[in-house]
Amino acid sequence: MRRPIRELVVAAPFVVSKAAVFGLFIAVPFVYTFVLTFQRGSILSGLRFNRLDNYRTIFSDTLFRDSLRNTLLFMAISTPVTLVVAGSVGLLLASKLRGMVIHRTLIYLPSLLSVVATGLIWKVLIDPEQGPLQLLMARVFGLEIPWLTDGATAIVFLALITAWSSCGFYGLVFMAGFNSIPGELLEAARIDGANTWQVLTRIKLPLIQPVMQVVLALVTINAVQVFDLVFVMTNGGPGTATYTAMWYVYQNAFNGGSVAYAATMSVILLGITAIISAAFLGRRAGVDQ
Amino acid sequence: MTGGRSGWPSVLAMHLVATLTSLLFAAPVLIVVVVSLKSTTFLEFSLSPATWTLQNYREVFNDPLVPRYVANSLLVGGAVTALTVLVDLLAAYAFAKLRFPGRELSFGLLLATLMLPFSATLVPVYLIAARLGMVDSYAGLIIPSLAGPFGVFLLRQFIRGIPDSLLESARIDGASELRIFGSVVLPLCLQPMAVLAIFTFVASWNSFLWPLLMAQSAEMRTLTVGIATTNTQFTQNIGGTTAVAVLSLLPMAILFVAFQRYFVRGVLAGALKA
Repeated sequence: MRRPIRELVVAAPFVVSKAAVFGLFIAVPFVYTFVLTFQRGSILSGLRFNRLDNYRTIFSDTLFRDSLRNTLLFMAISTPVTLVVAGSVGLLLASKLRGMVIHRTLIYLPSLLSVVATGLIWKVLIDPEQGPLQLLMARVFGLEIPWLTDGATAIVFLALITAWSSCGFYGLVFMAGFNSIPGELLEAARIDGANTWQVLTRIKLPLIQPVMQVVLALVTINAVQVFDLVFVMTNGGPGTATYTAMWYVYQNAFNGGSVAYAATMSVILLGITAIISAAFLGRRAGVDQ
Repeated sequence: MTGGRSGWPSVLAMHLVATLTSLLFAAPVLIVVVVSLKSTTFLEFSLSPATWTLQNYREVFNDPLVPRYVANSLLVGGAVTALTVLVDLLAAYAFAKLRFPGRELSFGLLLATLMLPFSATLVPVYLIAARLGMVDSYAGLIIPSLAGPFGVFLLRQFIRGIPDSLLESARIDGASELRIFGSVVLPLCLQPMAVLAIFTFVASWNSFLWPLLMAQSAEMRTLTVGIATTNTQFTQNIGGTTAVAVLSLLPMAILFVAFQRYFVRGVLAGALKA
């Protein structure tokens, strides 16, 4: 047997199972998504080619525009909040304070929840009649917060809940970043007379920039995919205020719309995601190569 | 370390900040846990022992489908976890230690999808699963979830660290590659396998969109899908809602407390993958 063939025979039992699932459920679907965007019809009526019609329709679709805008708004809130809070949490967890394991466990608690459970918990907390948070705001502070009943607050609230539920996770990531900074470096800076703030802004933050880039990319990619929370808490409402991009894809594909049209939306989403992650990760990838 | 230049006031301030931060994150969850264990509403809250009860949980389990949801989540999570670890470990070994034509190209393809959002492939994955008759079946809930590249990436990094000399000596003794894999590589990989297993089980237990699409009949629903779609029935009373939320959190909390080390490592591996 020739060598390459012999090598393939040896390797085949190891890679064949992964190749099958990866091919069938990632590689082929990835290509298929693009093909779908040039078709029309539904699962039931069958698909036919219609060239660029989907793209033409989608850019004049106001609901598409709204859901894209809602997603970007969500992203604009959840990204900076997550970055700042998770960064601070990471700094806190990396400090050698006593009892930090307990704090770490408590801070990580929301990250253990499924998004479905997260949604239910917050629905209970803001329940108009019995919700503890609602009562606290209304009785103690005299604030009647419209939570999910007002379009403007609803999307902000969803973004903040998402930040709350993921800061424990990203906090651990930041913690690892801070912990990987060599101690001598910080010691040297202190000997040179740098104060805590200078050590943070001049040494720690620049050194964990790669970690920050990764977190930024992950947070924004996840923001594009928000679905579960909308399903449990708002169903896209009030009106279309929390109609996010992924919700729109779901409604079109599986709630009586066209799968081809839904695929067009997901290709546009993929484009947005690619641009964002390239912006955040680009420089780092360049260094690695 | 913190001691250095800072005296007790700043240490105290740090403790205060840490405590407030912990409260901000944990209080909403803990309040809901307490509410789920009370017979009274939050308004009539009292610590009196008479008001503590498992009634909310009993009511939830009065719905005969709830045990089924839990069983489905456990079954699907267990199967996805076991198969992911097996399939990914096999592939990771090949990518780390075997030479074969197309190795770099196929691993490159795999890596390229590491940050590919599920939304990009959701629609065709559903169409393919439907074509294969997987809708409303355990196969549909399990098999498409095995496709992701993360495990191969994680395990390959680790296997690359195993010295070649170890494998060579087994080869010289005439062991086949499958035998080397089983008797040399696998025993050395137990730690990263545990990290991947926990990571995978948590992801499966908490996943929602895919099982929502696959479970057409109520009997096939996982716990997340079950509580989200029969939501209205539970939300009529706050007690039921809090009980199902706690029910879905409980196994994850137990896993976390028992395997915190692996959790932290899984998180770090997950982040460093990018």
